[in-house]
Amino acid sequence: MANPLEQFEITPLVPIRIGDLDLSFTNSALFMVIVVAVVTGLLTYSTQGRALVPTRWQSLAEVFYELIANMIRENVGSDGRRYFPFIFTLFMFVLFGNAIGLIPGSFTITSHIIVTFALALFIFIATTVIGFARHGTHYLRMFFPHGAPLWTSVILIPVELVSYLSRPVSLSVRLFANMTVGHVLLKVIAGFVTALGVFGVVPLAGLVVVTALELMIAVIQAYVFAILSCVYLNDALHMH
Amino acid sequence: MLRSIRSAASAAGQDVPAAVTHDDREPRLSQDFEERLKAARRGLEKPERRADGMGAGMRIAVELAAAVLVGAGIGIVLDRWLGTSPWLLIVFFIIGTAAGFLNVYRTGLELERRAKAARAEAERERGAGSNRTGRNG
Repeated sequence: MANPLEQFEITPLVPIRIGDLDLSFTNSALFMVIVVAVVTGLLTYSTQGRALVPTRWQSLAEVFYELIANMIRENVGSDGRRYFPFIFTLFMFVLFGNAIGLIPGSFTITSHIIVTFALALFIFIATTVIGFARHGTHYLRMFFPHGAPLWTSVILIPVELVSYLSRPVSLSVRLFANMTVGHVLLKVIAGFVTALGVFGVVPLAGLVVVTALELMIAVIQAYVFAILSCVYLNDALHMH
Repeated sequence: MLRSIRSAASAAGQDVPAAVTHDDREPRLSQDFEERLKAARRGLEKPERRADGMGAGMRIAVELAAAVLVGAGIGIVLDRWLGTSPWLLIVFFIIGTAAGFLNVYRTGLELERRAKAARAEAERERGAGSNRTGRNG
């Protein structure tokens, strides 16, 4: 049976070495380029007409636009609108990274913790910088709620600090775990199809269901990733 | 509008009450339309809610685990740095667990707020929908 973890292997396509750094162009990098190209191509093509009555392609782009615009309006408010390009890019990158990874034989960029963690860490640093830029040192109030007795600060501040630091971890682990588990599951079930011979139709039918489920999870996780970025952004802008 | 709902519902694999079963000579009542609309909506809402529950469970589990991991990680790093092993690990493990439950509590609050907002939205939409059909019918 094929190794179900083989699909996550990183293989350098164009070896690049600068000093001690291995900066090779890998299959992961290739699929990131593909994702960016697909998203850019799709949105460029579908917004070409810009008709009042949208074509099918244009309404597709409008669905994405409205989804994120509503998400920002509901979770951040009107002053979050300037961050729309960032959240939208993030959502499209994660969504298409998840979805393109479901094509058999392709590589899932979001199934690597370092990719999702880099995204999450960037969001974390960006929201922290925004918070301090907007509130100054007052942003430290995030770690100690108003009106709490002073002696509780000994417990509350470390707890709040760890809770705050756990944000990029939970954000990245959630996406990575969902994607990895889904793809391992698909591979394992697919292994049974050939191993069981004629009775392989049973896992094959299961595979159809699991693929549909994975497609749903791919969309939901991209959505959750974007919505949590909005929640963190809201905390930075308005504090809770 | 109904057609788009129906096609979306049938795409989601739900049974859609077909208009074919009705006698076409009989004038269709708006109440009948409303019933079919409601049935189609029910079909639409169900899978989404199920996915929401799964997502919520996943979120809460990861939220708890992440804080414990971060706490333990800080403890290990500080221990190694200050040579106080294993005391800071123990302290930060407990702090991390507390932070994890704080995260879970906050996630719960947020999910509840979101669910409430969604319910209110659905309620409003239902009201607006019946008004619209009432005018048309």
